[in-house]
Amino acid sequence: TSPIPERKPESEEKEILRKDSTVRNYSPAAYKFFMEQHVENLLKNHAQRITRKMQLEKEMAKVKLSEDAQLQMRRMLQQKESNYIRMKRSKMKKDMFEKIKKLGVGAFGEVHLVRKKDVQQLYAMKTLRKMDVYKRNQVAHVKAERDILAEADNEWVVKLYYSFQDRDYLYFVMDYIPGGDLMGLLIRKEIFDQPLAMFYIAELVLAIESVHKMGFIHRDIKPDNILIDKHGHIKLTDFGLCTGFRWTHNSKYYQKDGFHPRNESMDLSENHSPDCKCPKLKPLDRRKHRKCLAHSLVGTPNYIAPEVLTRQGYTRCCDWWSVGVIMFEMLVGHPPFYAHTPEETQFKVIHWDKTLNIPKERLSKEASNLIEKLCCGAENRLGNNGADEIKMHPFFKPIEFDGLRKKTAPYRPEIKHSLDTSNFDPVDDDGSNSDEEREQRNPEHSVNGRFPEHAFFEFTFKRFFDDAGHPYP
Amino acid sequence: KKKFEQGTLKFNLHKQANASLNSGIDLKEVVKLPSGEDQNDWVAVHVVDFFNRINLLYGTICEYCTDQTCPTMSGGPRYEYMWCDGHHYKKPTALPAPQYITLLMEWVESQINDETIFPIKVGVPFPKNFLQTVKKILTRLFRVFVHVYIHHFDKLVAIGAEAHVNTCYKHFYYFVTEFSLVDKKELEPLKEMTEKICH
Ligand SMILES: Nc1ncnc2c1ncn2[C@@H]1O[C@H](COP(=O)(O)OP(=O)(O)OP(=O)(O)O)[C@@H](O)[C@H]1O
Repeated sequence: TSPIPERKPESEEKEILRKDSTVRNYSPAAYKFFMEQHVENLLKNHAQRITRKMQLEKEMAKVKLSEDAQLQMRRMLQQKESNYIRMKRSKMKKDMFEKIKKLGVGAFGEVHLVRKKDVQQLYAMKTLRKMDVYKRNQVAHVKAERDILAEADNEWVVKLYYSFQDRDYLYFVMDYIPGGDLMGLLIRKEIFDQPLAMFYIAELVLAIESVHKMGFIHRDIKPDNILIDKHGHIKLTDFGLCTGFRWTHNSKYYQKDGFHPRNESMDLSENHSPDCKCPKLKPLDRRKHRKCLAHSLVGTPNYIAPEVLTRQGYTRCCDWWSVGVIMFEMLVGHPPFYAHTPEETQFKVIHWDKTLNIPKERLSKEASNLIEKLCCGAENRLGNNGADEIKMHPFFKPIEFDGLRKKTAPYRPEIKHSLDTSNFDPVDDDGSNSDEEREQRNPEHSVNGRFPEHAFFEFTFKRFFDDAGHPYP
Repeated sequence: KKKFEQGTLKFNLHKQANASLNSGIDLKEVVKLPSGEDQNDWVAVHVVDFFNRINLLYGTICEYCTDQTCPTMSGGPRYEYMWCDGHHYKKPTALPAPQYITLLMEWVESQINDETIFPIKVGVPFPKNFLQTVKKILTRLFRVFVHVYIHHFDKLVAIGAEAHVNTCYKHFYYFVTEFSLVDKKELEPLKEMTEKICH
């Protein structure tokens, strides 16, 4: 291969001079990377447009529309297509959305209930600080998250409507799921009866199966990432740690020094905050305390499979481990590897064969058996040969998997009005806007420092069926 | 339908003059006006996209394009471009290439950000002279290709980006010829190369 031309020494200065100019100095890697992604998207858009047209024709043929009505439908689709390519030229900004309420805090940012001002539509908006994402080497993961949410026309996955960025932040605008997350429900109920647990675990199996079919491994399935929609069915979110197989998300493209230690699993030692009292809290209070910032920065290893923690190499099977852990927590009332510190938890997970203690006297024989078959070494885990293996387990005998999502759910969240956020447990809203304030006080200087300019290319996304801000239900 | 195998590179880049990304794609097909689409909207979204990509392309080689290396905005000995914008440069003026291209990019950006020329709100029509404006924009953007190909292609080869540039050029070329947006004589400087890579 040919050598990369060396940058001339003055280029740094020139770069500064150029700061306000339209022409910016880009690295060769950035250019190549952008072009490759661009061609990929070009093809995708072209193919999707054809698909939409064919789908309309197919559906019209099915219901035998009159010629006139057909013509009108075609015109409607064409109008939508035109509006869509117009919208693609428009620049989205955070002030197109009004923040209503903070719903949650995550590792790199926050999730708010927002309203898109022009059409008054409600969404959930996740905000991530670019510098945090970059510093913690998660750019590839965030891109994978964008992709999976953008691509998924999957009823088990939260739908993404827009993603965009400004200098310091990345934004994901997605469906607002009003029922709260499963962790919230666990906090309120403490323990689920077997039918309720069975329903959620069954839906979780279907949801994970669908994600695997898309070519992704989630790796971070936990009760916080399982949302409950208004009918009581689940949807997955937070694909932050999720790994796809797409080469464009390979971390090596975003490394500072060309050398790539993939910091995939969490490094528990680096983020310890001395101010957090969480470790001393009792399990139940700790659950409540999970939204404290220090806590979410570390991320909990409670649900992560041992082979992921030990970085031994893992397969999609690691997600079935998490299912076992969540099932345990639902039926027993605390996670099986609970400990006062993340380090201890990690230790317990890795030594699961000595630390896993299923209170069999309190569970049905089938339930204990399924937990045992899921929380075990990867080579023996149920699910190794696909999700059907799990569905066939005797625990699920009363469950009809086909069409499960269409059936009435055993628990339906109470939602009094469209802005009712009472299903989310409260998050401290104390001065965590400090970034924004700093930014306003000092708009010249980025609070974030520097990251390679190509890191977040092609992050922008706008969903097709949202041309007028009215997503179909 | 073909599936990409896990972990493999989607694009196998070839180190040859007429290399392009993912040779399987038919860019000629992709640029065609879809049936029922508004031609102005179709053209507008492409113009914005080409501006971004050509700007990026120049950005990757701009440190090698200086007043010393390129004292004029030329494409070989036979072609030289003069800048004229009716304000600061009332008469066509010879400028060093970096200065010319910077002015060009800034001008294009101001055009595409002007909602009276490139309307964004649904229902707002394009101005009557839209296509004329677009022709001017694309003709000017084409000159950046001319300069980069003729004076800086070796750098692009050195960084292994020739496939990337060629793909971008082909897309641009198919697009402007499909809708006759750049005059034949403007395309002249890259004619030979075009014949080689755009069949
Ligand atoms: N679409 C949504 N609708 C309603 N609430 C949501 C939505 N997405 C996220 N939330 C809420 O915000 C919380 C944090 O979201 P999420 O897990 O995606 O953030 P994160 O920054 O990726 O966190 P982490 O990686 O630490 O889990 C969730 O637990 C949930 O309570």
